[in-house]
Amino acid sequence: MVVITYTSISRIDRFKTKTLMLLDFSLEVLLEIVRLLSFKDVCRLSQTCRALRSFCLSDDIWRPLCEEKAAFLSYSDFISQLPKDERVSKMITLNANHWYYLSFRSFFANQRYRGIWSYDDGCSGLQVFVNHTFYAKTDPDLCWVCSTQFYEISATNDLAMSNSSLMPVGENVREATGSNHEVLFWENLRPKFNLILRSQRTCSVKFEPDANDSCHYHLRACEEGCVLAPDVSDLSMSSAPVEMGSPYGCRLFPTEEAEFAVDKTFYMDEDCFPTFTIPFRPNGKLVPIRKPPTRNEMKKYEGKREIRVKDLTGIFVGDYGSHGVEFLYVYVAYPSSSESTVTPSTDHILRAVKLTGDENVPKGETSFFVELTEETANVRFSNWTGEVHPLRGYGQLSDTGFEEPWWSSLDVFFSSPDEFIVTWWELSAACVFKRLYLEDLEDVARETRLKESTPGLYTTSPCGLSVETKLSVDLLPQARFHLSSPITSIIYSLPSKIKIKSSFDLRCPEVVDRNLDESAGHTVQNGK
Amino acid sequence: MASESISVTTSDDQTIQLSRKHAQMSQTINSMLEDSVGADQEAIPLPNVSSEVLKKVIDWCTHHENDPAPVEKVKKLNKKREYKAKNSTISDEWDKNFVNAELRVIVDILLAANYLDVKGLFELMCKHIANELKGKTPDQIRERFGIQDDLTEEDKAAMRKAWGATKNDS
Repeated sequence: MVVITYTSISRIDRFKTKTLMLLDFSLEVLLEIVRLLSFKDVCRLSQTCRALRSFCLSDDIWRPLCEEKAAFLSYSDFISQLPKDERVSKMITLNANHWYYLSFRSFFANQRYRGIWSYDDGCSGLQVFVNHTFYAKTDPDLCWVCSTQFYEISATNDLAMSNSSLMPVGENVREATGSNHEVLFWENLRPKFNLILRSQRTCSVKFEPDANDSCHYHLRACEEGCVLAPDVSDLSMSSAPVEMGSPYGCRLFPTEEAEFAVDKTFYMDEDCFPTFTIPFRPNGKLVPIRKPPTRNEMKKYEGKREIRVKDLTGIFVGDYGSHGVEFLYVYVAYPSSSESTVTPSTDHILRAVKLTGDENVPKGETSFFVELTEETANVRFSNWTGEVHPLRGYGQLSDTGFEEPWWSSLDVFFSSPDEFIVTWWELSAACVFKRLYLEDLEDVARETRLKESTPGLYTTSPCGLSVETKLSVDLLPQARFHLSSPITSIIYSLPSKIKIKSSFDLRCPEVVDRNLDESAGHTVQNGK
Repeated sequence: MASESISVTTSDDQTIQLSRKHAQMSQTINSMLEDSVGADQEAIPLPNVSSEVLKKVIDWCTHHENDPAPVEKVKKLNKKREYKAKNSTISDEWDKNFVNAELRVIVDILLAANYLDVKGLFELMCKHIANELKGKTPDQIRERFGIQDDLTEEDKAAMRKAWGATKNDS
């Protein structure tokens, strides 16, 4: 029984004057409250006043959040997370000293960058793995060390050798030891590179001009490039490491990791277009596919007579005679060793790599390429009635089985930024390639299941791409090409909008496990 | 044999009787009692708690007197997990009613619960305040809690940049 005796009536009226109630709390109490808040709420709270701001920036708040996000990883944990592929893990040349202190807040805020990114400077593609880890150096309460690493995942041409490596290419924070959990901002640390998030799925990498030699490789290639992350929504369908792309495969990291790259609660950016990152390895190099342009983006070239070669990058679809319609990815690249046998003096080429293949030249292989010289940094469009500006190139031909392919001369005529014609000398054939726009592909990301292939209506290709091939057949003015063979000279003029019935499947259909010395590509089985 | 009720003196000089059971729910009073075992039972001074607030605290204690004691062992075992996200949902209907009070009362009870070290009550109040903060814009928080805005526009812009601002934020 509770007995309350009133002995006096007095009242402490602290709150009559409208003062800071929250700040009345001791730090300890405030901490208890803020721990119940989400990241976003903490951000908002920090924007109310100075006192709360400095409180919300403290490591006391962020450390729990970091730990909760399972960002707590030791060096060895990190290593164990790397792809199980022996070729990859063998080549890891991590410097164990790459550990730096970063405030937990900065650390947490940068978790969004974690994941695999495809890096595309318009010239050659590569993949990078951005990782954030933190660990306790000695005593967990005394010295927390956080680190951001930026690893290149690369492959060399010689597949017989250990060809993948994860290489730290730079780090962006310096060490600040001590127990004071000083708040260090990323910006204050003079990073060697900056990651600038552009949207959920894209970010830019900007290197400092005075970065040291270790970053030089990337500096040369780009000052600022576009980066695409793998399509996380697709990755999350499977919790197992995902095999991607070519038979040589590039393992992706499990879902949890990938989710760090795109934390949906974290970013409200509306610019979340589907990405079509299909890393594959023509000539043994991983190539990320850049987002196709939208029709609107290409409008700026309307009426122009020429275009930068770089801007031609994209996915094209064209007819391969008896093989049906095939898809190509066209981009600027350095010549591979095989390609330089026919163009020894060329620095850059415009390469068309097969996204879908056939039994002669399988997917992932170069279909053709054209030499680029300084004069052809811009491409002039040919039109049907007037001038002709072909680019000289070579196409890859092979007997069934892709056993001893050879290079054969061809010409490529660009009639507009979204259309070009290839004339194969040896085949006496010409085919038109049409650009696929982002709009054409937008539905693709949503569809996950492959359509059954219907003979005559669909062409199902090894990479799981099926296309409605109800194409209107239009013969282009033939006189210009003097085509001799009636069979191979049929030119399909593809409809401007191609309906795609299925998706680029990020999870490559079950790929026959093959030895490296076996020939590539053509025995890929569709697992679905 | 200790007496069944304990007297405490509040900040406004009132003496309040409360049962031993309730008193022991407060770690602070409990330890005071242990320290003064055998000594004459004088009223325990609680200079940080007003009678009005104490009454509320006792209300809560009465409702929760049969709750199982907070498990401290678990916390020790999972020290690493200590910071795990806590759910701020208030499940108990009675509790929901209890926190349905003026904010200044809530704040007083929270401070008292902290001082008296009544774990359950303290957590409940924290949850309530956290819920009050959730989903509010900085402006709304300032309004609700009477916080003076002393940030300059530049500060705010810098903050938004640093956080990688969310669009919904003002």
